[in-house]
Amino acid sequence: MPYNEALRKRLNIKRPQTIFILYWFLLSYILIFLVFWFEVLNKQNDQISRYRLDMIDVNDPFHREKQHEIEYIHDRDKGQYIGEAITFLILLAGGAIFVFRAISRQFIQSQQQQNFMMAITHELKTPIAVTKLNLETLQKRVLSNEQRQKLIKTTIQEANRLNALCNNMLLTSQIEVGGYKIIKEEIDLVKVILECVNDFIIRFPERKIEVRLPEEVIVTGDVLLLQLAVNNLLDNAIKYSRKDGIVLLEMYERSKGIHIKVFDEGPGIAERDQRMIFEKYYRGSHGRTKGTGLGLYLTKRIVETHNGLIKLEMNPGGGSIFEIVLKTQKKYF
Amino acid sequence: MQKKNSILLVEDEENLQDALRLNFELEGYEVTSVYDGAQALRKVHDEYFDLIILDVMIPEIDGITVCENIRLFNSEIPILILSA
Repeated sequence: MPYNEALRKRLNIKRPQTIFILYWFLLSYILIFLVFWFEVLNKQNDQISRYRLDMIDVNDPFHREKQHEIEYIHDRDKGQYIGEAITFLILLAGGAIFVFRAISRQFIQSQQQQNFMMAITHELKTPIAVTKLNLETLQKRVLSNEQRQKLIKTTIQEANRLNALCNNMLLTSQIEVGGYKIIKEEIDLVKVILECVNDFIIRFPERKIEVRLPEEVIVTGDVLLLQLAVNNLLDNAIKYSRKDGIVLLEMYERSKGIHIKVFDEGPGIAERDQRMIFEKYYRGSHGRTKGTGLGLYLTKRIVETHNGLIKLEMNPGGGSIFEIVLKTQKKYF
Repeated sequence: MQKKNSILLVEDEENLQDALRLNFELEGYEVTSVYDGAQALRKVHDEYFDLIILDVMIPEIDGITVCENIRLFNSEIPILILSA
């Protein structure tokens, strides 16, 4: 069972069905009442016409004209309430659709936020727990130099993880409210990527990280944002692939654009997740995959800010390929 | 020599697993560690443990379901659940 479904059950978080039941009940009630009201008016109109026709004296020289007039009034009244009913029905349908969409959107948002809160709790608490445990171990135990170094190394890794998580969260909110000021400058993308890759090689010395880069690629962009985008892709590639799997970062320039590809040898991404993977708060396998659901969303936003696009392909040999394509032009803003 | 008490550690976070394992080993326990719920169930079927330390959010089968499954055939073994 997916984590969130399991947790929702354990925490007894119910899906808000009551409001939907109430909504459909009210809507059906109004519709039934509308049909009933229409039928009553129709019968009343028929009865009045019949009564008035019965009242006409057949000897009256104008009885034909009077009969026509009564029939005309009957048809006019009928047309009037049919028109009113149709108008009411259109307004009701419009209102019902609007309310339904608004409620659904609100539920989806609150559910996403609930999932996000659960994810963020896990993502924040794990590095804190590791850091605390490592520091307590260092304080209380008599350790060999090798053991001490390993604990220090993993503590730094967890601190970096917290830092990356905070950067993602901060930047997501800043980009969304327009509070982040993009600093445009000419940069060598090869240098930026090499810095990111070197950082990962230091952090994960046991992993196989390979690069295929040209000598120099000059673009105009925000160093911090582009670094974050590359870091997110590399981080995912390492997080979701086997320990002995190769993570490859390839960059090449074509006439139409600069391509940055990150290959991993992980389990790949299920077809149903592929369309949704760049959505905010979305996590693969019905929320079963760990993470906050912010990394790829933010990466996509960053790439779009640089007038580029991000694609996902399945690696024929297993795993996924994330590709960023930036237009080959000097100015990206 | 007295046989060491054994612990099955079910934790998918590698760093947390390493730190817990180090501490328990320094306390004199024999630690077997696995990364997911399915592996944990297989281990409990195949081997004897004095204690199971079980994370809730683990891949394959979540910790609570693993605990429920273990309890179906073993009501004796103590299980310590790690949660956020």
